[in-house]
Amino acid sequence: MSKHSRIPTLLRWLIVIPLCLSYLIGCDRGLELAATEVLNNTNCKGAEEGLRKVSYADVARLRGSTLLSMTGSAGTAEPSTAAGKTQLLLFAVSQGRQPTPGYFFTLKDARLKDGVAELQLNWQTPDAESVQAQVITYPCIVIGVEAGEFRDVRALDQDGELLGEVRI
Amino acid sequence: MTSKIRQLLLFTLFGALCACGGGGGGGGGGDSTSTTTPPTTPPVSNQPPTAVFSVNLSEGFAPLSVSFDASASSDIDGTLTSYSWDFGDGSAAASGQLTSHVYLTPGAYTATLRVTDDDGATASSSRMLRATGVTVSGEVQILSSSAVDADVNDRLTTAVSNNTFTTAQRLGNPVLLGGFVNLPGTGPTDANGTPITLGNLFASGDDADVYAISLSGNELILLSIAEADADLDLALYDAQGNFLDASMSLQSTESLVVNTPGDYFIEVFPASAFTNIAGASNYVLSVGQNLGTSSRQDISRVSDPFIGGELLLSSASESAVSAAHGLQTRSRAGKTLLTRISRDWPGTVSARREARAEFARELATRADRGMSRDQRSKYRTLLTLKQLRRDKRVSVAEVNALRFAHRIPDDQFYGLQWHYPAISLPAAWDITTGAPAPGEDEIIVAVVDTGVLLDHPDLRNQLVPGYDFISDPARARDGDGIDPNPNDEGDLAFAGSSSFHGTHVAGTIAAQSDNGEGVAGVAWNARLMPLRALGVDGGSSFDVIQAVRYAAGLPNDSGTLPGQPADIINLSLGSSFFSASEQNLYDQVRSLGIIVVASAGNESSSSASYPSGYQGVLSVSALDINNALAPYSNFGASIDVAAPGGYNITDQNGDGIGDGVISTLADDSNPTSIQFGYAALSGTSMAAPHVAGVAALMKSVHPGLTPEEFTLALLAGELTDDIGPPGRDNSFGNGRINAQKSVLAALGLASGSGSDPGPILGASTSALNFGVLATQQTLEVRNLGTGTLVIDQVASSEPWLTSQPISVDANALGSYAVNVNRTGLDDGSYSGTLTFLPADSAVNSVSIAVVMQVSTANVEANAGLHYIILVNEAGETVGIPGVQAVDAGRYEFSLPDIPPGEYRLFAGSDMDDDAFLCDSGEACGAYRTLDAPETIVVDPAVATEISGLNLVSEFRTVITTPAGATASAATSNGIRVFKPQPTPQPVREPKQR
Repeated sequence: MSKHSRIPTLLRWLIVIPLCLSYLIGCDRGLELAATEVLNNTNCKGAEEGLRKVSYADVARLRGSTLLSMTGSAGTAEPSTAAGKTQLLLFAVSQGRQPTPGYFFTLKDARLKDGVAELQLNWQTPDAESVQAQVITYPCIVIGVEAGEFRDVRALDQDGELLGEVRI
Repeated sequence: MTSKIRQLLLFTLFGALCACGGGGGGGGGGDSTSTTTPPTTPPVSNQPPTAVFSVNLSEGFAPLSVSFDASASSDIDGTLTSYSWDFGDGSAAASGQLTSHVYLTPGAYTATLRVTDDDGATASSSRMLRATGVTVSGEVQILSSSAVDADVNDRLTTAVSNNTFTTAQRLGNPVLLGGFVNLPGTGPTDANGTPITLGNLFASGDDADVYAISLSGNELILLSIAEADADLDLALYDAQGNFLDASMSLQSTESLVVNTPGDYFIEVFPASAFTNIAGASNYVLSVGQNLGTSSRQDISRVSDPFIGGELLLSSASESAVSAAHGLQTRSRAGKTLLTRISRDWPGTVSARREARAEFARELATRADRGMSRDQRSKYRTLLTLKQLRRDKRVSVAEVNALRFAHRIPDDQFYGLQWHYPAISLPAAWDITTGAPAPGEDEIIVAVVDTGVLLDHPDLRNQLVPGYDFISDPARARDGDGIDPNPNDEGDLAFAGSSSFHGTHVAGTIAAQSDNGEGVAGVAWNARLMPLRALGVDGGSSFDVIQAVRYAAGLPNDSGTLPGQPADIINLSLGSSFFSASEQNLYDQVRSLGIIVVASAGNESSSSASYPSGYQGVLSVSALDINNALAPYSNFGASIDVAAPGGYNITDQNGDGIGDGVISTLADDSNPTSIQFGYAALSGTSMAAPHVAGVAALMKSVHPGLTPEEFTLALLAGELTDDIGPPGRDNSFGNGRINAQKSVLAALGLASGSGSDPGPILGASTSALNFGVLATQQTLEVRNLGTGTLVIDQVASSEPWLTSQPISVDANALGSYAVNVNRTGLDDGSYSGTLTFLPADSAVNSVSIAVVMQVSTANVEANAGLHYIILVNEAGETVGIPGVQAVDAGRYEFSLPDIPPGEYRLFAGSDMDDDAFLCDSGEACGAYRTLDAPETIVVDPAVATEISGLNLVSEFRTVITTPAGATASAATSNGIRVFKPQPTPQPVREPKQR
């Protein structure tokens, strides 16, 4: 084999090795789970800190407006038990009481890793230099996950900090 | 599971029980108990086959796994060619000599084997199998004062008429009663809007519920109407049936007050067809001592002070409206007409004839019961008012009220604003509500915040022009930088509702008040200057500075100045960064005579937040409902004063709303429309506007009040109640703001007498209610003024009412225990007065109203037929609901055959027969509490019986408004229950009025 013919071989290795690494990393990241934000609220009254499995009735309670209204129909809807919704497992994540607005979760990813459903969230906090209203908030997020081959669920923030875990 | 499926299961269960008698199968194994049916049409030359099968077990907990073996089946003259299995639970048929099946849900099932021989003849054999579940049992407890209307729409109850004086239902006192009334042919509808006609009262109607009751005087009769689109009214008669009073608003509550002891009749009735409003609704009727804390919503009682026959009217179609409603114009004030009900009444309304007839019937029934001419005129006026308020051409319709001095505003939700009596505001309102002295400028409070919803009905009339100082268009959400429009465009970057923080703060300072609507503000005759500086993700110091400069009348980036600078600036905002330039600004603002109030921050920290930490800015910490430092509130050396900030997580006063501060708010979670309303929030943001409002009250009686005067009076303890350690402390600063003391201090300053109002005796409460059980409560008496005040005597009006000092100083000021002794007293309600008398007769005395009830065992308590249901995680009811009537005030229940799973347990009534429990106005409870239902895990491997599941069910009153929104302390969503078929309609006696 000539010197020139070895160059493509090296190139091939240079291509193959990163692909293998990415494959391995991909395996480590687990399989993607179908998940969606069902509720993202800044005033989830009664939300317990951490992760817990909830029902649709809980979601209605978390969403439930305490508005003493003059118009509209707040709080008069029947509980949601529509077909199809029951296919989702619901998980609420809360960090409890916060001193100002500007705190909230967003769903980044949901994966099945080693038989555990892992919800990866971004926990946003207000800009430290901003001026904030001094009202207490209770931000929470409710994530709907399609049922799958898992019994344990955990939620992590963007720094890998455990927000909570639950066995279903 | 649908109702049809459930009915099918029930039918199957019933059928199986009938077919198999009570035997139900024995243990596992064996084939001797199967029943065999004759073979079908065997050929003459063919011997029929024999069907026999055995099972490994015939009874057990679900899921029940059963193995079936048909090897004992045979055909004497041939062979069996097929085996067909029907497991009896609706699952697919199986085949083969051996098979197995899992019965997932508890129940009795008939499994059938059918065999076929080689000549086509068949034979079958059946046996019963039973999958059992866990039994769940417990007890539903109800309040001892519970009662239920004798005729409700629930098809499973027997309606006993209480429609007349002669059939009136006797009630105890106090009482909390759930009931239902309807006009014939009206009632609940199903999800498709189709009327549910199976209820007791749908066809016949129930046009009155009459109750007989003995009252001790000073009672409040309160009717809470569940259905937003229904209109029920409330009337009171004496023991002879003579009309006394009626409450007839379009609101969701009606109330009457009775001041004279005696026997009475109370009538709840659907408003007549005259008002053209559907009349079918659950309701909750409560009768108890009137503590004077219940808010009035409007002039709605015949006994209210207004002129019968006269109405104030504003409409773009004056002539047409007047003609339609039979009104005659008497006078005009701007756009408002003073009209009088004319001889043409009720006018040319579309159903005039029917209306006349209906009204004639309506009025005649009551006029015949001793209604005076004035009462009749006022009754007719209130009916006409309802009709006008439902006429879309009418913008304003009011009675011509007689005005008197008042001290408690009549706003709809004032009764929920615990944080105002907590700072002695009602007493301050006796002196001022923030209106300027004659010839003086209006008092203006600038609210530097997220802006204000300019169209909020409780704020739109309270505003002077403001400005939007948010310079970043992305933060502003209004498409531009600074602009003259301070409307709050919302501050949320994702789905949900914006905070509308500035709207809430503004409402606390100066919501339009005493207008029968919404909430009250601290200084409701002051004016608000809305300045927008916070938006999405908060705001910048620069924008806040610009807003403060504008409020103070200093040059700013808007290039404009307000017509009149603010007197007070409220800053319910902050950050942790100190800025020397900001300190300079607040020094400058203070030098202009403007009082600046700011929130201390919510980090539960001693670190200063700014601007509250700046010199010259009043830093306000937050109190909870118990006058303790709220768990989130900052504290430390910078705190000047404390005020209610609330804590939304608790509901210690049991009003169904979290113990936050109630004020104006809105919901924009529906992107197509914004819903104005009111809600509780908590934070030091909510505390600061209480102080800003009190400063406005002070300014109204002392226009020259300077920040220095305010500070000196504060340091001298003249504006506050000293809570916590004596003197200034780091939690409460100089104490809890006291509006009455502050206004008195300002009056003193205004009169040049310094700040020496002299001794003023005050108490921590004006009333104590001991209910049925309590025997001791405490209160505190203090000198709210200056100088020396000595308590000479505490006088009791009743022998069962006593007091003794707990912790008092040398002047007998301090804490007292108040005791009641029910020994030897008959059942009933009792009221008395405890009076604290100063030694100096020139100083005011203070009287505390005390009420209590004496009630023997709760044997008569009844909250109506209860359904007890288990709800799974998907919100579906599981198993057959328990249906339980009351027995000695309690409901014991046992729910058999509950399959494994996780459930929540609910109990409640269904008075309107819409198959939903826990509707507004119905009794409702959950294990352990309705606010936090506990999950019950049913697993036969752990326990085959779960007992002791006790819960409390009670009638829940609701807060609704004329337009129909509901905000309930309880769940306002019904819980579906599948009800059995109706029993035959009970025979009801004819209506008599």
